[in-house]
Amino acid sequence: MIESVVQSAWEGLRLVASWPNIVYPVTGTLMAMAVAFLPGISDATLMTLMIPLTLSWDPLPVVLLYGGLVGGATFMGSITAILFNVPGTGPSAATLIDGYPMAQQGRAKTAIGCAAMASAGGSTVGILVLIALVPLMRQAILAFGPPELLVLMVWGLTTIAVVSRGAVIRALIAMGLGLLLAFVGHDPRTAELRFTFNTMYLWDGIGLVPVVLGLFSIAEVTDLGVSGRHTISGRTRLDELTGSALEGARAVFQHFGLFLRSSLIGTAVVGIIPGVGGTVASFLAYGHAVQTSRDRDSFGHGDIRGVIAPESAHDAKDGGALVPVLAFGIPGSEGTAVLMAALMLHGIVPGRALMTEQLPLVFVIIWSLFLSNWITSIVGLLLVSPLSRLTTLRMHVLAPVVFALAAVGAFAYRQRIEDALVAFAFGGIGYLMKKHRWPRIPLVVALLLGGGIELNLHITSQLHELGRLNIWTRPVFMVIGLLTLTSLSLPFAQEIRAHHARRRS
Amino acid sequence: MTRQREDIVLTASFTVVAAVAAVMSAGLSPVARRVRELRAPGIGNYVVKGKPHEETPHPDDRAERRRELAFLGWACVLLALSSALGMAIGLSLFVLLYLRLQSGERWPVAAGVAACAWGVLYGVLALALRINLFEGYVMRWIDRR
Amino acid sequence: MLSRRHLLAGLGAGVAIAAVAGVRLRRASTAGAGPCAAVAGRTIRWIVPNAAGGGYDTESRMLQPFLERRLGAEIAAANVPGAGGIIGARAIAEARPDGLTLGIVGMPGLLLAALTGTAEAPDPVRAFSVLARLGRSWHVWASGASSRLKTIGDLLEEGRRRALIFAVNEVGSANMASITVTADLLGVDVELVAGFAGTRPASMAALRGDVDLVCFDFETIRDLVEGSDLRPVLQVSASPISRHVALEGVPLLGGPDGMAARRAGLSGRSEADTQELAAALFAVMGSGRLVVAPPGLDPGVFRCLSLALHETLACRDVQAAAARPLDVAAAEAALADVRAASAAAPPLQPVLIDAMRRVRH
Repeated sequence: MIESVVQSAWEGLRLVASWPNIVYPVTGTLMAMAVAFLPGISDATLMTLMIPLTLSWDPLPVVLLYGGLVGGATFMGSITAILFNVPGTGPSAATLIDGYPMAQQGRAKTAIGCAAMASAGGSTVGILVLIALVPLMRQAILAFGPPELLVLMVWGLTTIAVVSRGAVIRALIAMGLGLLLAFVGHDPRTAELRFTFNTMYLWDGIGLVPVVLGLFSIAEVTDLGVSGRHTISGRTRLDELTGSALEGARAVFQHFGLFLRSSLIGTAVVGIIPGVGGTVASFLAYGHAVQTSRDRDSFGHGDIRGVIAPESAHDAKDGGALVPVLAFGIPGSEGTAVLMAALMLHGIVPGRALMTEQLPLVFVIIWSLFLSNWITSIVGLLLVSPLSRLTTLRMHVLAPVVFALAAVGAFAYRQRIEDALVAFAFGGIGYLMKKHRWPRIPLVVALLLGGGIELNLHITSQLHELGRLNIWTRPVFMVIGLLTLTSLSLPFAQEIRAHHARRRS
Repeated sequence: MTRQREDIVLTASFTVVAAVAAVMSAGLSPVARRVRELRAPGIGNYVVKGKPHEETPHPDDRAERRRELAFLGWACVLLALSSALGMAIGLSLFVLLYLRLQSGERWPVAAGVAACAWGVLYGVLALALRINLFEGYVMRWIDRR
Repeated sequence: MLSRRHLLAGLGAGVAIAAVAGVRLRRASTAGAGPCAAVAGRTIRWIVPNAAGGGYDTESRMLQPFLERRLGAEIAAANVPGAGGIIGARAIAEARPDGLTLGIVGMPGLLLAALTGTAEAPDPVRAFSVLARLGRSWHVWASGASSRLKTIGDLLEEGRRRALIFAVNEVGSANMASITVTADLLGVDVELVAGFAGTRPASMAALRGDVDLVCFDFETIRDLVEGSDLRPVLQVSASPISRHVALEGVPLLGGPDGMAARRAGLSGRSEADTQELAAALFAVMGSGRLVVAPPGLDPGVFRCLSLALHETLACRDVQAAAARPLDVAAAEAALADVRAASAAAPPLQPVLIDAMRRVRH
């Protein structure tokens, strides 16, 4: 079995790296990077556009192109997180905790260089682990039912509270707010409408994209404008920016153990979970970085380890995230849903047959994605100077452009003008939260995970009432539950120990 | 109670509770001055009476308040223009007006940036990416005639 | 106090707006000149009522190049998801009837929404100009590979002892309706575990053994059936859904010798009532995915568009390109099916409302 997997992996790599096949993933990556820089415009937009254009193509070029399109968007989310404090994707919300302070200190180049290297390295580790785990993938995915998903999402949420250093109670309140917002809308279990105020707009709840655009894009620009700061970095010339991309890339090797552990968290622990895996992986890795460091006070203030950990985990999960799509046809995001649709139109049907009889094709997609991750990192490194230049642009010019793009991004999400209104309302809320030092990330992540937590909680409880669930026979549930409790209690235990040590001395 | 009223009452109650929590936490009320959050050392963060509170990072001043109101006003202008005239025209007009009136840029600079904004919105988003931009209530009314 | 500069700025903006508005008015006034000339060389807004990557979206993107060639118009697909397809359906129904807004709607969902009193849902019979039918979704009941319930006999035997447990996406959906009505016809109790994120997560719950059965469109789960992950035990139709080898020997719900007729006495209904309820279910499920336009379309434009669509959908290239078999019908036949379904649907109402009430308590 291992032999056939390695052989298929090698065959897939050969197909991707040959000429002219390599043109497709490179083109797809560059196109996706260009589009992903626009706030609120998802990778799915470009991918759906390509469907009719590629209808007459052979399956192989389609697979190569789409692998590039899927991979091209992720790194740009990290760029906007570092430069503008705007998470382009859910997972990059963890990067901005330390990435943005680095940009504010004029060290944007170092942050981007570090993110690029961590991304490329993380995806390399992820691919190697994935190749080793392919024979077990179906069992692994089947092992994650509603109870496991529930406890995993709760673990992700608790990690956010734990890493909100200095404001745990505020983080918990913000998280509660996010959970409440997540419950607005149509309840699929009972077909009841909750907090919709008789409007169709709120039927599907409050959209994540308008909230993120408001809380981060609009709020950040407003805060910078109101505080009188002229530029993001406080500097107006490129030569005033300190640090370098090389310094950032070197930092990944200086903290190699952290990088490796974070990559493993991204792949092996949560990467294969559809949908929320990326966000949870990034925050778990960040939490791990904080909890395992002796000197933690610099986290949240521009500590480079706070960029290495989430970026490694984030890209390590990319290959793993494809496996539920290909093994079971379960898309984890809009982008992977379109990927699946494109594959099916070309006769490539996800499922057991694909994983057993067409394994080389599976690896073509995975290697194409892997190549895409490296291309985004290399292009990101090459563009470090012009990208960092954005932090020296005057706010007077940047502000209206960002406002306009945020409005378009919010509208484009669901074609509803109300989403633009919501984005600006949350812009006001985000500004006030930032002004009064209320953390916003717990709110966003709770909004992202809240719906899933509620649904999985109810499914789990219903299955248990029906006698179909015995949690004692579900080892994954027990292990993740234990990790959650450990994650919650560890900081308190460490504080108590430190407290006693200080008293003794 | 109808479902709508129920939603309103619950939301209003929640908003009041959240506002009280926010006010207390930000130290803006006499009650809150007795209730503060402490940073480490200590077990996590907890509330203790009677300790002095942290300085807020944004000390109130008139200039800052004026800037806040200005941003609020411009946000309303953006929403009004894009709702009425559509996103391609409305947002480009917003960029032009903001750069000219708020930022004090010269006409060529303001017009240039606004033209670039229109180019991105219409050329890249609407034409190339085929993203449907909101056409505006005025245009909808004209279309229906 | 407004300065001259501000006034000039305002004037300039006003001129720009007037220019664009003038262009729009001129386009609007020439829109109705001649059949199909209304769309040639123009951009048709194609509304898809689900998110990118969903079934309707995939079909729309697949059809796009064929339709563009046939109509000589550019098709701009717009995803308008929300409220189970109702928001997209309303966007089509409320658009201007100039032939430049078309879209896909799922009729079973709209018919069920009308039955269960969803006020916001557009009237399935009157709110659209039906141009063609794209396909129909016929459901099967399927058990997981490791389940003891391998045949309908096992199912009914188990159903005598306890309620059968189904995984569904959401309450009020077409698949929930299919389950509850079928269960009613068979005289078995069901427990619905709702909230799964889609067909796949629900199917995996059956694979894992968390639930007994799932009920989905056969074409959607065909790959799982072919991969031996799911096993069909009942076809929710009056005639065989397809000639697929996996459906050989799988009994039908409807028809003179179907399971509903055989179980008529057990469910407490007369044979006539049983047939009526079964016919209502099949009529609603068979109303299909339709290509529609707003009501009040000019007759010439309607004729041209419906003919063009039917020809395009029925051609071999489109059938070959589609990810799933299409079940195409012309405008008149499709509309007749919708009207028949709407007329036949009322017997479903008490069953559905009772099922939803039980789920909520």
